[in-house]
Amino acid sequence: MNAIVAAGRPMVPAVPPGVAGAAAMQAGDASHLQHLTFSLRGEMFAVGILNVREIIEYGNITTIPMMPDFIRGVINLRGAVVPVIDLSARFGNGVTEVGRRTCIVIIEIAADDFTHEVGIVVDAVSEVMEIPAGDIEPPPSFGAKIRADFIAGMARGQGKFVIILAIDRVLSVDDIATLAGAGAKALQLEAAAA
Amino acid sequence: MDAIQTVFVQEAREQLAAVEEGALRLEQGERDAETINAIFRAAHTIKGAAGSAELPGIERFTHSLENLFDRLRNGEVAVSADLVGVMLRGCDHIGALLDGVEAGNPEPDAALAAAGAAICEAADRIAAGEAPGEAAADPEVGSEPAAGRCESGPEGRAVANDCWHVSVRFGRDMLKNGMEPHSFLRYLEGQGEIVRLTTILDAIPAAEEMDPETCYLGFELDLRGHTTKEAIEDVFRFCRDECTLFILPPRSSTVSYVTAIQELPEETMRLGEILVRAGTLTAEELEHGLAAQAAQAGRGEAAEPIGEILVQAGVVQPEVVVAAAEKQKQVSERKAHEARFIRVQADKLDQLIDLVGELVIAGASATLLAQRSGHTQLVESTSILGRLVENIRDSALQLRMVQIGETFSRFNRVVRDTARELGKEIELAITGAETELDKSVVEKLGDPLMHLVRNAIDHGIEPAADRVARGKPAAGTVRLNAFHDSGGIVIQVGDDGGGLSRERIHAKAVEKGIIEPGATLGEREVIDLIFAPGFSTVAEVTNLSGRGVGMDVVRRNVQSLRGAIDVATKEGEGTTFTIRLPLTLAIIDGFLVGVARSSYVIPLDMVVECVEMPGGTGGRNYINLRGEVLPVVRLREQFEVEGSRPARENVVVVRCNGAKAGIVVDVLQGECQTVIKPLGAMFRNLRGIAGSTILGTGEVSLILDVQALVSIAAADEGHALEEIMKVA
Amino acid sequence: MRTKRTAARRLKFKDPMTIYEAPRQKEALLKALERSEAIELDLGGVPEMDSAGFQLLVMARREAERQGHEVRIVTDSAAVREIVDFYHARDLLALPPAGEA
Repeated sequence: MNAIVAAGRPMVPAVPPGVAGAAAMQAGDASHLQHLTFSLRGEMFAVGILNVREIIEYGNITTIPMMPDFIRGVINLRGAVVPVIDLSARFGNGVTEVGRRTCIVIIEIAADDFTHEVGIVVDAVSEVMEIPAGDIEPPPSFGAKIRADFIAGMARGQGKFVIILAIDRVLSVDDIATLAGAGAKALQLEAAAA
Repeated sequence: MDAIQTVFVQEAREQLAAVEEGALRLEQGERDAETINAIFRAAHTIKGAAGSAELPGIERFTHSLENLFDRLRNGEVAVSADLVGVMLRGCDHIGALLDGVEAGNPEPDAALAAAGAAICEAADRIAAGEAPGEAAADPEVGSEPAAGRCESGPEGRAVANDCWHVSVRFGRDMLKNGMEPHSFLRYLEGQGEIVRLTTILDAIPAAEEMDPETCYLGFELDLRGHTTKEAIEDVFRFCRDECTLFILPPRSSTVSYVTAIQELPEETMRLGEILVRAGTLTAEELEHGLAAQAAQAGRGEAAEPIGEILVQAGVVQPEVVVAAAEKQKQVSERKAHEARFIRVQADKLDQLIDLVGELVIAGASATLLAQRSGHTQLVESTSILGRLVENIRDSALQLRMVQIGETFSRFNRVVRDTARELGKEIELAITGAETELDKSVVEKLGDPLMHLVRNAIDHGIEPAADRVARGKPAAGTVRLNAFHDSGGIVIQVGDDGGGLSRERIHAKAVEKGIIEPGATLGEREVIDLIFAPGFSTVAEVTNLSGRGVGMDVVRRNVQSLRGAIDVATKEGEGTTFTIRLPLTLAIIDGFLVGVARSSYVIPLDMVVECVEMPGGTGGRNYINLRGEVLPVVRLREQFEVEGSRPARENVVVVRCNGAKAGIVVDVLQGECQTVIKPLGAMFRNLRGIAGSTILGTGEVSLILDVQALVSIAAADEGHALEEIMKVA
Repeated sequence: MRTKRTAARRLKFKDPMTIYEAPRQKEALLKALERSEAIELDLGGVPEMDSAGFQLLVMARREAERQGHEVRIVTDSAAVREIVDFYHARDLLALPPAGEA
């Protein structure tokens, strides 16, 4: 288990792209998947390492007008413009306050035959954790603070539960586009009303 | 798919377009030999190329079409609706096979193969229907003799069908030199079966004069076999200098020579070389011919053209020479034209443009750093670099510009098929085909255009009876037009049909719950309802348009290209959709403005001027621009930027789509080259922002969607005028 | 067919009928034609024949015809048949039907 600490410059790649895949392959099948864990408002979350491209320092975000809170804006990731989602706001828990350990995890998701890169803002990255499939429990039907369909499963780690995110649903392009469209409608309505 | 197949697919599609175009011309009554030859050539090229790309499925299928075209060319079948139908279905089928190749399935699946077999069968039926022998129907094209007949060659030598005719007179000294004619002829049997042989003994003189050691023999023989002229000549290689040899190809080969000549690469060649390359003439024969020509010249006679000499010498058939001469002419005509083009893979071009984009960004960053350093010489040299980068950018983008004509002409077929399906008579009129725009835009334009054209045919053009009743020509017209306008391209799809009915649109919108029953809307607003999601004016959903996709999708597609669409209609006279698009989706000149800490880019070609925001406008959304009322959009408010307004604001006056408006910003930061980076699918519903770019500082800046902002301002304008009226 | 003399003269060839022998054989044939109005050629023993030999046969037939004489090939060999048949000249030379060697 290798802990990854995202602290200050330079950017700390979680696992170089490609290597992440290879490592997971070696680890065998889905039964022993590696996960990146991070904290958000005191809760621990995990995403499959295969989805993680890199971890970068928080900063240089260009805000996009008329967008819901959970869309922080876009960043320049080596020449590509990548949207950044505020996970906390996405879960309805208010906008993340930027602290010293706040960072952006670049996630790769597949949608419509393309892979998109999306950044998520997290309070702190903690470690890469191997979670045996057997240790993963189904999401609770209620009681979790976030939408049930965002949760892929629950795992026990270091004495507390870790929420394994269904990241492709959390970052669903269609969902977000629809929500982002609300802003556009506001603009059109304004035009009509004026 | 390997590289050869990639090239093949692309070229085959071009040839296919030629076949299709030819088929449509046949249907319209243009039945000249050139049209028919062009069809045959294109099919032949596809077949040949499929062979070399190792795609036997396509090769086989195209072969059976080619057979039909060959009979058509020989006047053995007539042009008919069935024939054109089979041709078009054949084209579609080849298209489908090509799709398969592209998708990595070079061999068709069972359903496709069955469809292909059905087409082949239909083609064979038509080919056989008018056959055999007698030239049918169309006298214009029926001049060539049928393939089954014997033809009298030069010097009366008959050329039996499918046989090579070899005429040889052995040299007098053959025998003395230890060569035996009999052996040569035996050796010739290696090239095929000698089906007929006549020994020519005329040369044997009377007994006293006869030299027993001299060879007097000659032979006329027919050889059946798949061989070439070269190979036959090669049999006689060792006695070639001494004997007189004529090799006449089978009748079918004459056709193939003509084709071979037409298929030769486009190089400037002498006539003789063309014939040799096609295999109808051997190098040796050409040499003899040229020697004869030189001899004529030497004797002071006017030298005959080499083609004439060769025909007289009986080494080539006249029609082959004609074809070669035609080829020669074509090449010289095309030479000037074609030398200007080279074929480049599109993705290489895209890659180049991406790199140029990175270069622009890096250049901007270098310029910025140079300016900060205050080093004069460095600033100077980066500004030179900057200019060069700008030139490179423009040239690179120019490379990807294509004419829209190719996209337009695809609709010939669409209009024909759709009109036929609906039992309407419709013509397609294309103008502005030479208008250029970025290939990446053209590619995304196909679907919206298709929808608009089908819509025009389906809903726009009325049935012939209605048209006649209205005093219009029975045949409707669909127009496709393109032209450049202020840094963008305008594409129009129009029809001379019934026009949009405001009442019907209104009623439909109410029915669909798009508007309230009692809503009062302006003319424009009613018409614009057709772009509303879920709108369709025709009660029955036809097979052609209005299946799920509506005008809202068309509009969304156009908007995703940073474009806009609107519609003009007059009841009873027709409807025209106008699409405005930027010329490129890659790099533009931008004008950088700042609001609070954010920077935004306005496409420079939309900027008219910049003025200072006059004080005391209060909350009004218009200013007085030299006596003109200019509606403005306050970016700070529109984008809900936090913080208070600075003491001085600026107005960027923009013009778009005929309307003028002001965009109120904090500061003007100047021109910049802007590499457009799409914001991605997540922001597809975002209006007011057209995309993003990366500044020299590495920061992401947003590109304003001027169109959307202007329409906001324009909507405000009415409001503004009312206010003015109140004040007055 | 006229016959002025009753006895036909039979000429037997045993050597190859090739270019090497042709000059000599030509003389022999012409002499024989001078002497008799009818010549019977026995080619049964000819082991080899080339185009020169073939030409001689053609010449002999023509010369005989010109003089109003007759040349008849009464026997032939495989070598003779091979070339005569290949040249499609069996009828021309009035060769006996195959197998009558």
